[in-house]
Amino acid sequence: MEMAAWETFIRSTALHVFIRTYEPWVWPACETLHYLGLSILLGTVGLFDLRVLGLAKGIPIESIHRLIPWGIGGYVVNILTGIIFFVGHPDQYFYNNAFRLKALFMVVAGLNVLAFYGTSAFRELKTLGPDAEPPLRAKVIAGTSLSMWVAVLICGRLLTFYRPPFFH
Amino acid sequence: MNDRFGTTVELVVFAAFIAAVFIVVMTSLTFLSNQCSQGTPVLPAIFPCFQ
Repeated sequence: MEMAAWETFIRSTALHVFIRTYEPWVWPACETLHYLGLSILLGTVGLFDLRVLGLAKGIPIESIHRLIPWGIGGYVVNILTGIIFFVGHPDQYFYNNAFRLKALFMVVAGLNVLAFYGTSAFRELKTLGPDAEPPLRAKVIAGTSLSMWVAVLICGRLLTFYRPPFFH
Repeated sequence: MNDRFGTTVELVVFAAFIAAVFIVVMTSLTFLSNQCSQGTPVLPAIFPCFQ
């Protein structure tokens, strides 16, 4: 397959040259950070989702929600390290259906976040007591969130098995 | 005892949930691979066939 113009451009950037020059250190360091980021993301947002779905009743939802900024931090780390992976080996991600599926799940997860904070779903949850049953809408959003992040995790692990049959 | 039983049920349900998501992802990727080998891509704009 011919190299596309966008890929030629990415390969001409200083970031690409830096990543490839120091790859033996940059790649493992970013992989480690990527795993930590996802662990923090799932450990906070996933925990919040599970609480909304009915797990660990007795813990106020508002208390668990205080962990969400940690999840956002993990997400930012993963976006930054993900950019480094893509810039380092663009062909191995762009021409990979596991990556495309992962991106699709991330878009759905993003829209789900908008549905949670953009509607009254979150406001309704904040007013609930520790043992109160969350409304169905919040449960659907939490279930979607948990499903999407687990799917993102699985797709990320499967990237290696769906690499394109060529290297540029 | 009831608490322990409840936690076990929750863990089993969670494991089943993870397995279900895994099956959905694997089925989707297998479907995408097969549609290319059969030459009938369904969503070529998002999931093209890479030769």
